[in-house]
Amino acid sequence: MDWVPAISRWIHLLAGVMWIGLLYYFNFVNVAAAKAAAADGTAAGISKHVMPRALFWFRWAAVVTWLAGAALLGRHFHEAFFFLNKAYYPIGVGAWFGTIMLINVWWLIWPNQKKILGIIAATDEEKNKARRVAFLASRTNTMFSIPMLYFMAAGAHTALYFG
Amino acid sequence: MRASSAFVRKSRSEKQPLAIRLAWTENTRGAAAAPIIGRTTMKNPLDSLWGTVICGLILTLFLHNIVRYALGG
Repeated sequence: MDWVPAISRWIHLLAGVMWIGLLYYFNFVNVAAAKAAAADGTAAGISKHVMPRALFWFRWAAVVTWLAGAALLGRHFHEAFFFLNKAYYPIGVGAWFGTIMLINVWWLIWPNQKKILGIIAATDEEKNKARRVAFLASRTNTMFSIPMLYFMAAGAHTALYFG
Repeated sequence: MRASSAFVRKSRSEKQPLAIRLAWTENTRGAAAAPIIGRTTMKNPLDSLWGTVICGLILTLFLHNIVRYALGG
């Protein structure tokens, strides 16, 4: 048994489930829940107790997923990322989506969430702008997750997906 | 001479409600296209959960075909 790819694949899947699971929680559950909670004055509990914890696991799961994926590709990393070998085209597309999504998490979602949740100081105007940017970045990641997961699955089953 | 009401030139605001004129402005790059009645702004599909999912599915289909072509399928 080759331990590095085996363990990397396992960690990649575990962390990936946590990352995308939390992303779907934010988009499929929390957006509507926060809106309803704001309407009846109970939103503070979500922003104080739920979001900081969820965002902690979300952003670090993204890092672990990407690193485990890179370890899994190993010496074929550049072949996948730069589309140098046809066998790695599907996983290369998935890897690019994953990378863009990781950048979205750390450069757009998390810095703006820090303003929204009051972790760093921001005016009301800055918070409103941060809400919109974080929302759109999160929705973009949800949209990208659909082809990303498709190509991740296709990477291991090229014949099944592409004939 | 008193002009007949049929020949009185109406202002733009009288001829077209604001919503239609806004749609005209946003959806045309010249004078050729017709106004889209009932729409004031282009909606971002990412504002809707279903819009997001449908965009993701379309993107998947589009990329699937590109990769299949690149693989010689």
